[in-house]
Amino acid sequence: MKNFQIQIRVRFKEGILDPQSQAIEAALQKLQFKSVEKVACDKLFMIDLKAEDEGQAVQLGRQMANQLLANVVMENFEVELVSA
Amino acid sequence: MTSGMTSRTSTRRWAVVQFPGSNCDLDTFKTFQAIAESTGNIEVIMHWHEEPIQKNQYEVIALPGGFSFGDYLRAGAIAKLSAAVQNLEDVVEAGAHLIGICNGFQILLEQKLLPGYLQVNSHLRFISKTENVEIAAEAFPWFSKEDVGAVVRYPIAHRFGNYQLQKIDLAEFHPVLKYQQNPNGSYESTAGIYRKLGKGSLFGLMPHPERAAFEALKLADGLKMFQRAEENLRADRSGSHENAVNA
Repeated sequence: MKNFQIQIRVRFKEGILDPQSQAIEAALQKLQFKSVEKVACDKLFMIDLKAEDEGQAVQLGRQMANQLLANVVMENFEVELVSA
Repeated sequence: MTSGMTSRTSTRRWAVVQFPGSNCDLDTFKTFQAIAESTGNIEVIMHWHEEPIQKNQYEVIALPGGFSFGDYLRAGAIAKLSAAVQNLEDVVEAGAHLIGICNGFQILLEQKLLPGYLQVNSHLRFISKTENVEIAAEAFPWFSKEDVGAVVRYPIAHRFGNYQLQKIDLAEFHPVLKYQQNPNGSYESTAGIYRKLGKGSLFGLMPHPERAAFEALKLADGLKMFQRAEENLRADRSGSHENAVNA
């Protein structure tokens, strides 16, 4: 078993109502960032774990996201290996 | 003692599942006790979330409001892993009637026993007020045909109560409660959704009927809903008992 760090990014699916991001977008407009067209607030989980190899580390991350970290009814997720 | 235990087999059991961070558990428990006192054969139980629930253990199960596990990650996301929540689908199919109120509703959505998701309220505020809510459909045991169309007053208290639904099968899922003045942006003003499952049912709602259950509060519409459930379940039991005797 080796040490790995993975990151899991969770984001609302396209078309999901997201009042928080809309409020932040409006606040940026108020600050005169007029070129802002869209804001998405993600959740980012940095997870240190032990695994046999990189593939297993990412696979475990996907299972964690499916079972707990994301609600797949409304959120998508991406798992990336940060360091091995 | 033994005969005493035996005589209790006809006792109906209504349970409130208590999670760390539940805060409407006692309101629900006291409401159930009021029902029990008026009927005499209901035992009300506070059920700790770490204990699994067995099939036919309870007639009615409430997942109460509050902030289970601090609502960390997402409301209900961690509570759905509790032992008491794991086999609720089987427990309901076997005949239990499950009501998830506010945080309890959030748990049922996280467990995917009911469709859709709850987003932050459209105006981003925590809302705590009493709302007029219309009973839009029959939902055994909670609402009978004669209740449909009635407007009741239930308190709401939530930040994540903006109920969004996409493509639901209306043959399976029934929006049974609708806000008269949509306070939080919910899809088609939906305040509660109902699903018949096997011999039991699931009812998820954001308003708090258990906080509208005592005359002293000048708000007792919620008590009527629990009384209705008790009457309907009692009638159903005596009906199925007669059927069993006649068979």
